[in-house]
This record gives sequence, structure tokens and C-alpha cells, in this order.
Amino acid sequence: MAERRIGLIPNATTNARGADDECAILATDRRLIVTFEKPQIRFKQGLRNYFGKEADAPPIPPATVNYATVDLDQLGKMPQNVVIPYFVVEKFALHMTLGVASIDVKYRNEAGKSLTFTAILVPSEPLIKKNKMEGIRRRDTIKEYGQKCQELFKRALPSSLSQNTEWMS
Amino acid sequence: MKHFRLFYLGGWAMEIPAMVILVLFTFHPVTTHTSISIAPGFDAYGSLEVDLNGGGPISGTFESVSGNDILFMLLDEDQFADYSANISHSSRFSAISSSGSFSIEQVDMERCYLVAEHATTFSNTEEVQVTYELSETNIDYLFLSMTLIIVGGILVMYAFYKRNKEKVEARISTSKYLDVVFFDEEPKRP
Repeated sequence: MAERRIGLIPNATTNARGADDECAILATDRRLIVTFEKPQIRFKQGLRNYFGKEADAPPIPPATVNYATVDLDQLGKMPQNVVIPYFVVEKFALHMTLGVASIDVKYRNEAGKSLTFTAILVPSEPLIKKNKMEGIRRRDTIKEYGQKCQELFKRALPSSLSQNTEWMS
Repeated sequence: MKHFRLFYLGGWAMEIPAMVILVLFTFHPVTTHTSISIAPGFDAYGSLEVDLNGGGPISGTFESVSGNDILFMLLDEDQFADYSANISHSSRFSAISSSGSFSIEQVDMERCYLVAEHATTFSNTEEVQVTYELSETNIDYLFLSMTLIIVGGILVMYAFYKRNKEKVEARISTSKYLDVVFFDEEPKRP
């Protein structure tokens, strides 16, 4: 049976690569695929990109990726992305702290090492600005975004995992 | 090159010279060369009042032109008042020599007095060459560096603001997804 896409969280912040990074989380019925906004850039490369012509053309444009049709296996195999199949997840927790939702996913990687993926589920600044123009306050946008993320995980996670998860009220 | 980068570079082009001016020239030490003359006579002395610009270390050298030994002292205001009144007094620094150096790190004096008097020969006029160094704030350089720091800072902040604005606008126009997307609107599987 083909892997089914459940939903996409287009903006989250995680320190999975050592520093705060923007990422998108694609949830399917089998796994979470965390795709990063930017490839990991070293300081020297970053300086060259910033002052050179390369900066005008980002190497990977995730904003233009069509997550509805993109090949999931290809997306999962990209070296900068993180893939977490549900069967390796030991604990999934979704918290709401100061109005901002965050997730902690405790799982074991292929080598059997226990890892925790943490991400803060904050909407992107463009969404906040867009909503602001429509009269929706920043705080409400962030809260609503967190609630939608919860709904997405409720739909995506298998029942065994979902039942053991503490959801936001 | 995008124009916000010009503001960014322009801002730093002001910040860096401002820092250099501030560090190297604004608080640089000022060296003064002067002389103290001691009139002939047993009780004669020569003195020089030095304004310490609100307190600060003072250091320097002295040398008698004739090569005769002299008594050289550095006194604070109270000590100099006692010295002038011929009352027993102490000193911050004193030496009997034809030449020497002095250095006072204490910063509790508003002004001090460099005093020289005869030590061995009292019949001649004695000329003492004194060089001292004070750390002084150059107001012109301070004003220039502060102005450059403020203007450069505004340019750098404006560059960041423009960069962020461009990024947000570009993302609004290019991004397919701003909000959470549900690809499958079917109810949750059992």
C-alpha cells in the first residue's frame, strides 16, 4: 500500500543540527519527514554566499517544493533531512508553553541510539503578517497554528502512539 | 549586490574607524614637557600645579640641568598646603637625585603639585626639566567616534530591517505553504 501524506507543518524551529534552524515537517501515515529550509552552511561558505552572487539563488528552495506531489523517498533520502518512522518512536509529546506549541519526539535511530527531536511549532513571519493585515492578532495566529499542528499529529500518528500522547487541552 | 548590503557595509565602514578612533585616539595619554626653576637660597623651591582632569594616573621624569642633586616631590593639595606653610608633611613621591622617574597610580587627586628644591647646592638658580604623562579624553575625537558609531549603527539596523522585509515579501510571493496543510481530509484512520 502506498504511503499516504497526511499533512504539512510548513514552519517549525529545531536545533536538531546544532543551531536553531527553520524546518518543515511532512507527516505521512508511516513517518515524519523533517525538511530543512537551508542546507547546513559552514561559516566561510556563508560569508561567500552573503556577499557574493550565490546568495540571490538559494541552493535548495523548499518554499517552492510541492509537498503534495514530491517523491517521498527522494525527499527522505536528501542528506539534510531527518526521517523519523513511527515504529522507532518511543515517546511523542506535544506541549504548549507560553502559548507556543512544541514537540518532543523520543526515538531510536538505525544504530539503536536514543535520540530526541525537539521542534517549536511557530508560524512563519509571513503568515503572521498576512493574518495581521486581516485583523488576526499575532498571539491568536500562533495559538491557532499550534492547534492545527495538534490536529495534524492526531490524524497522522498511529493509534498506539496517539493514545500515549498527552495532547494540549 | 542588493542595496541593503550597501547599507550594511556602509554601516560597518563607519563602525570600525569609530572604534579605532575611540580606542587609539580618544583616551590617549598626553605628554607635557616643562621646566621648574628653583631660585637661589636655602628655603627656595619651585613648583608646578598639574590638573589631573578629574583624577588619573600620572607618571614622568625629572632632570636637573646642572646635574646637581635636587629634592623632587609629588604632593597632593593638602600636602602642598602644609609644605607651603612650612609644616611637617608627607608626600606621594620624593627623591633626592639629579634625575629620576615617578609614577603615581592613585586616582584620588583632582590636582597635584610637582615640587623641586635644592638638595646640595643652594647658591645658584636651578633649572629642572620635567616631563609628565596624563591620560586625557579628547572631546573632539570622542564626539566624532560617538557620531560615527550612532550613524553606522542606524545604517546596520536599517540594512537588517530591509533584508528581513525583502525576505518576508519574497517568501509570501513564492511560498506554496504558509499555514498547516491537511492533504487528506478523510477522518482519522481507526
